[in-house]
Amino acid sequence: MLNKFSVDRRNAMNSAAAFGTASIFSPQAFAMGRSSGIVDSVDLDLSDPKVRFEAKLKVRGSLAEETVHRVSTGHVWMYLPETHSYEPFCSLENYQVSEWTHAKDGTFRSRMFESAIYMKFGTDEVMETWENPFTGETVEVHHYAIGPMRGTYNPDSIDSDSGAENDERVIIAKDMNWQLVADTVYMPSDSSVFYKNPLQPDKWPRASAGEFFGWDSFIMFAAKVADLANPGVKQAMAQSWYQENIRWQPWMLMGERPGRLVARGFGKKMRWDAIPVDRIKRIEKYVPEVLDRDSWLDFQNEFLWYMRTQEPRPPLGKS
Amino acid sequence: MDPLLSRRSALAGGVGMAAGLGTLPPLEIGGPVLAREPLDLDDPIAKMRAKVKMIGTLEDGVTSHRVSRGYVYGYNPDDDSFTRFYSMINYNVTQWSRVNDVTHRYKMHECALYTPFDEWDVLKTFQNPFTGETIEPMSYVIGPLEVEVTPEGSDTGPEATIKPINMDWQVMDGTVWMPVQSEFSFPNPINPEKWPKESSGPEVKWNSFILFTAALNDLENAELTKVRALNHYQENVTWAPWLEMGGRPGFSLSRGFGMKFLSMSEIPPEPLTLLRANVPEMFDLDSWQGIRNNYRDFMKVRRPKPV
Repeated sequence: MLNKFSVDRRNAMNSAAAFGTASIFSPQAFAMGRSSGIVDSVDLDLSDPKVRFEAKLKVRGSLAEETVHRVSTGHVWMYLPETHSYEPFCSLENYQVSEWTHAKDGTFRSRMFESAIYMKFGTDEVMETWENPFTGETVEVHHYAIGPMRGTYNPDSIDSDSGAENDERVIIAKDMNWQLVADTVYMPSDSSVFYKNPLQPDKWPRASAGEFFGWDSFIMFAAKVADLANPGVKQAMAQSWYQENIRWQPWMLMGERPGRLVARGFGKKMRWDAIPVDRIKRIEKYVPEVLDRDSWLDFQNEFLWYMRTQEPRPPLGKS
Repeated sequence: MDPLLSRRSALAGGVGMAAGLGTLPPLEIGGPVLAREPLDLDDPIAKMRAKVKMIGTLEDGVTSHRVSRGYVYGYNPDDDSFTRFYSMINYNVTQWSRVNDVTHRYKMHECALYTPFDEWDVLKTFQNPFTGETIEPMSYVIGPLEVEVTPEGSDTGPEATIKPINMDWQVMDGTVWMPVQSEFSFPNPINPEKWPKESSGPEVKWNSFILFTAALNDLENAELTKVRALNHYQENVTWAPWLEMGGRPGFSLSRGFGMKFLSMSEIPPEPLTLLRANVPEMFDLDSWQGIRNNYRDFMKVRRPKPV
């Protein structure tokens, strides 16, 4: 079994030295794995940049020209620093869809969209409105739809940042060491960004969480080693987990109150037919644009949507 | 036939078998299903059995092993930012006993060995980015903790601080997710008057989330008493005393993932080697003395420093 625990380009040389071989996924590594009790022998050299490139695309998207679906469930709490407490806020039904194509120059292209439907915490009941516990106001929930985020992935430049190409991009994931445990490869990455809020508080005193917007996230994919090794598998149906610590959403009308939303989610890639029908019905009702992607050309996110469709509200107590 | 054995025999086929393996979702053990026990989420007994299979074993007298990799960040409320601190290897050992058809018990020991962020080595010193001081880390060792699992939930006993609250399970596309949250606070044993530099404040506050993920086919396979399960966790905890934050506002954010194994032999060699060398008591539970936790151990081996 490929039971080596930590593998990436950075530490490949050190590990190789430790095993006295040019490749950590070497016969020596296999022998070590066999002695561990899980017998497996797949030919996968993740120190080979080409193999790493294909493995990453298989896990996050696809090597084939096809549409990739990922469905997740999230739970969100409000972190209140004054009491260092966490209040249940909502659940989320996340849907990410990406369209993968091959360009004539040999690069892989992706066009990705993402949506989230807010649910009452721990239920399958859609949250249509939300009562702000700090102001007593009832506000309308904005289920978000983001995209298209375009990416180009070049097999000849595999370790470059080949993610989204949008100017509006804020999350720049930093890949961490891949971990190989039993029959599974884990691919974690984190991101910590702090950027000028598109909704400035002087114009949007209720909707803006502040002059700057903080967004910290962690996402991890896990896939079977055998899928990555198998050239016949173009898309690994990976498991995924995410954690996000972000400032308040504009529709919450929290203003600059200190605190953050803490989201913890889990899901997996799946074929369209495997997505639960109830979820598809809710997507059709609340974020139908994510199913009509041919008509979706201009970039949209929750901030742009809010600025386009809403008007600034005066601070509380002023009319 | 041992379904695991038959599975292993298939795996031994090597590359040629890879296409076959690709049909299984991550973690699925596979093997023949001679009898099924459907996972009815409205049936508390069915859920309890699936839960025990995920976190441990239905067998009596068997020990379960879980290893995770964690990444720890420090939250600074002054500028609302998270900073990378260090990583850790978590090792959780549970010794299971079957009381009756609907009650299982386990005795748990757990440790965390700190490493430099995203590196495989022992963290010998740590330069605290918030204070600028170089300090000596202190890995934690906890246990034993006795837990009873019944259809009503997990009872961690009066001495335990963690009171897990089960959340809604999800089943989609052949995968089962079991999330559990826990939130509590208690008076800080490292009180700020005696330990002004080491104490995080008068109260320890803990908010955590852990998730177990397993294959539905494995959980419904009545031949299996345990399954391989992925786990994923987040913990938001007031500062550990060895960080010497001196009551500074903020908290540690830990993000981790790992696996509950079918046997100890599946633990990858890198974490196993580091754990054996640095936390040997986790591998000699018969000689374990008393109840240990990070606060007791800290007060035993450290002395208050002046601010």
